[in-house]
Amino acid sequence: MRAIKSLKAAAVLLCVLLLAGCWDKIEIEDRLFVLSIGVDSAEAAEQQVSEDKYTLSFVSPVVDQIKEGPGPAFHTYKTVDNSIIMSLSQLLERFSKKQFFGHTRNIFFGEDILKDEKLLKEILDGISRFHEFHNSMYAYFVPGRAEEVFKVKPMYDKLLAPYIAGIIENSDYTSKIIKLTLSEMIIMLENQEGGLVIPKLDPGKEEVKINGAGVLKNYKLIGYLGDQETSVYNWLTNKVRGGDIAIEHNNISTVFRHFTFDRKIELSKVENGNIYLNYKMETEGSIEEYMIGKEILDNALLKEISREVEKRIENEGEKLIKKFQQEFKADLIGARDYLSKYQPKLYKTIEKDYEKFFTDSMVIEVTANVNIRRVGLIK
Amino acid sequence: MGFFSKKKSGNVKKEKEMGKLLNSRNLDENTKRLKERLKDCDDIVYKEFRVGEEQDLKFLLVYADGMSSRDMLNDAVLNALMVHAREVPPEAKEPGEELYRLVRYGGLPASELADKDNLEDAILAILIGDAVLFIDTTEKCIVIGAKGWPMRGVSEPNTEALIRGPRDGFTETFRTNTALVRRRIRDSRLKLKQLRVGKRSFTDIGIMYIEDIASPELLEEVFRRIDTIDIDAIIESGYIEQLIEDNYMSPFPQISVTERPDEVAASLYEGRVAILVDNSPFALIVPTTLNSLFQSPEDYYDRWYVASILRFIRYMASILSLVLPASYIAVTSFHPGILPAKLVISMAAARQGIPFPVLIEAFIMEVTFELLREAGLRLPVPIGSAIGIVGGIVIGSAAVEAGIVSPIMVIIVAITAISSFSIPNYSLAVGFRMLRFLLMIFAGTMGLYGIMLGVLLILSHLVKLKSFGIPYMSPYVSFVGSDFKDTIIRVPAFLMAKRPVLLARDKIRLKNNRNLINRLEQEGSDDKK
Amino acid sequence: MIRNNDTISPYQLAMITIMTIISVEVFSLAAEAADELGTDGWLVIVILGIINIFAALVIIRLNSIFPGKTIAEYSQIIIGKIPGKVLTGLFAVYLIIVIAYVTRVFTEVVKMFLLFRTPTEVIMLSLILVCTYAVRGGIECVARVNELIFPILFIPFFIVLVFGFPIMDFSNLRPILQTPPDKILASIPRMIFSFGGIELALYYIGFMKEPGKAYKPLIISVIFILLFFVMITVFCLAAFGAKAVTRIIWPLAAYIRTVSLPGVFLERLDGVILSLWVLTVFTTIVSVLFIVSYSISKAAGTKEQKQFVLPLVIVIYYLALQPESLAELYEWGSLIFPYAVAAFMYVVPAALLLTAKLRKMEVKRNESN
Repeated sequence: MRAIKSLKAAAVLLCVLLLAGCWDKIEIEDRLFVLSIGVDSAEAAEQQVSEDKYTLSFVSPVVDQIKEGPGPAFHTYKTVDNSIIMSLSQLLERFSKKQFFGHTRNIFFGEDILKDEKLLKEILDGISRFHEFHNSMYAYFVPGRAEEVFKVKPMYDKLLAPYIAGIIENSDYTSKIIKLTLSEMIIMLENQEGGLVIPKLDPGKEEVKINGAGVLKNYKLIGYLGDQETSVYNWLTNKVRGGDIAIEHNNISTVFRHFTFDRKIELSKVENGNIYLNYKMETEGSIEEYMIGKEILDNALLKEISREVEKRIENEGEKLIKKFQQEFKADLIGARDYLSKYQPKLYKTIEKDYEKFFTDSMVIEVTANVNIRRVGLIK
Repeated sequence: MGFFSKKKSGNVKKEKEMGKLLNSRNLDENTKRLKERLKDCDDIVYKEFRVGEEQDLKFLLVYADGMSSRDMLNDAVLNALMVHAREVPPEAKEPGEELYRLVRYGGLPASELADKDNLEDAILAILIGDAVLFIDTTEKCIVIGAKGWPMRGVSEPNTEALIRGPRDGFTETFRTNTALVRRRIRDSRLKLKQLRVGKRSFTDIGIMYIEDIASPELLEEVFRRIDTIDIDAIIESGYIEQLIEDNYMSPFPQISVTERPDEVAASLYEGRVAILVDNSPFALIVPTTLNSLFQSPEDYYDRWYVASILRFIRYMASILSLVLPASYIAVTSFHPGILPAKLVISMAAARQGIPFPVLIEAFIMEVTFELLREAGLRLPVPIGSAIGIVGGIVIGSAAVEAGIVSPIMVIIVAITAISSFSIPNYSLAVGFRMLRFLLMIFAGTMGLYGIMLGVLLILSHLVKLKSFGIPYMSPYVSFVGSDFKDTIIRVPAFLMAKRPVLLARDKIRLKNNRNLINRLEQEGSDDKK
Repeated sequence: MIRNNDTISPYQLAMITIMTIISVEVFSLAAEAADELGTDGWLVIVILGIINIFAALVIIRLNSIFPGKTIAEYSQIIIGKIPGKVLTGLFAVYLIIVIAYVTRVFTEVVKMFLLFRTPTEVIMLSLILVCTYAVRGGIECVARVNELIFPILFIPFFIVLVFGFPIMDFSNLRPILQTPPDKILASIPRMIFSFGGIELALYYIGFMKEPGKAYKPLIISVIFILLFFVMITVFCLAAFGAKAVTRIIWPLAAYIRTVSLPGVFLERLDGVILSLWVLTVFTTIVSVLFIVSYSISKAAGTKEQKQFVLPLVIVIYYLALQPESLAELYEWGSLIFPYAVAAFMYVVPAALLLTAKLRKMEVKRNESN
């Protein structure tokens, strides 16, 4: 048994010797944390070789400048190469520290990438396969070039990436911002056959603005949604929690702020080969603005106002649905999801030509129910 | 010369049987032999005196100065024989047997008397601290219990101080210790078996147990193991511990050591066996489980939620002290993705310019701490503890300023050290210290995966370990519900009805009296009405 | 009271069974289940679980006829010495393949999520060597280690699973019960391996003092595993949707990645959970490796099984390095395991039980009563 004991000791010794070559050990100060990535298709001027397809931009913090220090808190740099992984290796040629993508918060897609189906598919595959990315990264669409975002110097924040991520997280309070994580993006593209609504980010000089959205179909950018339309989109897809709706009542501008917003889809009837769906919206909130001199703490008046809000929701909702049906010809509002889950037999009959069916034979109406609970501090 | 020949013929048989040389009947001969054996032992006192009206009976009192109580001997022997014997008219007595019996059974007002008849036993008795009285004309001698040496008073053990609990601790005197235990168990079934171990030291060992609670197999095993000890000297109970433990290579102690008599008594009530060793204030308790090493007597004197919280903290602290440095190494060097972005950035900022990898840094700080700890022990008490604390702070900050270690490392090492102090048992804490380094190496090689492998190795080892037949990890393995009441939490006192299942025989120790107490309350309120 | 015996308690049997069955296939479970059946994937698991309860009953019954003996011994009694030894030998070979497979799959997972550049050999060898240390401790060590690891693993794991609720959308589980029954039955063979491990009871019950007490723990283990698997499949389906989940190789790991514990500052928990997973792979390998070395020691007629473990390690190591890639590994697995597992879990115990009954071996049981 001595033999076996010494074998074991030898094994342990082996492990200790292996310390000399611990392969995965990278000291924390030798890492460069990439906090955001931007993807563009490479412009002709930038291409060094004809295979170069992507321009990737990165931003990393300069660690010792973060707490105090005169220098900039972050640096940006970019690569031009023919695949995302090759770009990452190219970075190794230029930096002594090794990039680490475990904390990447944002990924920006430039307009030209979203318009190119093939490139988009390639890059999405590379992204979802890469083990270091966190699948809760936020995805954005940038009109123009994504690298413009990295030139922004935020007013109040030291670092760019948390600044932008923080804005996206405000989506809890406003309905004009769509919060889209990378995993949701990939799942939606998968389930909706290349259809997606992706939030739009406009870079400025000292700030960015996130409102509006881009619409993809078959992995290609085909249109845009304005910020009001984005709001409505959020209502229709049940992604909204807080937000404001501005209406006119008796010529007075008033704002309804809601805290919950629920959407339920129901099948009204099937008639003449047409499917009639009803999107039921249920929301409650408070009135935030009226006019001095008028008191609104009155049941009848509040009911009137809520009727106005309901009408607004229904009109805007149906308008946007028509836009999706006729202009985009893509079901990105959750009807397919509902049908496949709750009406499977019906769905099977229309599954093959769903797009055509959605465009021609589906009638969707929106009904809203608004409850005004509170009016603020004064009557 | 007649009796010489008698001795030769009649007692040669006895001599062969006993293997010891009998005393001579002649006092001078005995004296000569004694002085020969105890040559150059200048602390042995030889008091020759004569007794009787005629002053013709020769006696010799031998004792070791400093080990025997001179006052007691003066009173019980010298006074009695030299003074009072004169007051009694001499009876016709034959020398030899008669004289011996007279003195032995009526002449000495001492409570401990024994008969010996050979030199070895006599010398052993002298060296133990008793006095030996030799009488001319007989080979028998009387051993008088007269032990009285300078000893430390009973005081609180400073390594095991409690907030609430008795403040007496064992001393170096065997008899005091056994008395301290017996005070707490006034049951005739508390047994004390005394043995002498050590070929030159003849150290007294006492094995204490409660007869109908402790299991007979356990007792048999204890006696068997002590029997196997063949050593020249037992200086401290640690010698016995190391010679009878199950696995000498394990970093975990399989025998508990304590200075507190209340802890010994409580263990005996649970069915354990205690071993007391002369010259050592540290008693051994067998068998031991990992769980019992985390228990402190205070847990039972305080109320149950205090005890439970403290136990829980102790467990958490010990786990922390084991894996914290290793986890830090693994997370920063291998898997920084686990930490949130802000923390990672500030860690990276803190580590700018540090020349060593995290593993080396950790080793440097840990080793420094160990050195400080050891140094603190050697220095006199007031300086020692100050050096420990101040040294840690000063050296830590100096190292940070010099850019050798990062401030986070200092914090981690400090937390680890503090956590390790909360482990009640010293050898266990030391064992953990060793294992911590092992885990750090594993972490440095393979990150979290390495730590897990290390933890699995430790677990497998713990699970194999046995202490005198009881699995070391009971009651966490061999799941027995009732034993769980006293592990990470301690349930309220009235629920702790059973003794530990694996150890004890007489199962029930307590009967639930909760409803009686409540009923008295009720009756009280009824009365008020 | 002083235990130096070689028996296990019913509770230990339950722990061994659960920890052995749950090893690497849990990661890919949801993807496999949803692959053919979409949202009804969990249904297959339920059906399989129920079948396995009956299989467990058969196994316990078989063992009760020969209390204190494992299949290595009583197979020789039932069908003769040589056929019995051949059967035990085949069983051992099958188990060795299982260990090699599990080790290799787990190493791949570790390489993907924890240690990217450490050589496969090192990861595998270190794991197997640690298992060796435990197996050499004998049945007591194996049983206790399983007992201890169960709470250490499951409590944090459940906490993490439960915190995934915000990202789950249970409507993803609809539509229910849309798949035709023949499709369900056809996909059962693929999933058999997930429950693989129950057949180890053929050995482990032999270590119990009273095989009759094995009913409760074994049945409860199967039910526990059934519920656990269903829960995981349901969670993964809810989080990703049936279509997307089939594209991910290891949906459970992806699921854990998206969980974030509120308030706790740790973010990417997949590293932590994967490290905890080492514990369950360890228990699986240890339980199976012990059986293999035990059956070899029985065949060779030796008293101790310790000395066979290290040579076995070399065999397993070599075998585990054979497949060139993950794809080849999974191909192998789907070729061998449905048949092998079905054989040893269903066919062999049923056949042996039938033969024993026909040969009136019931008598032995009444005698020992």
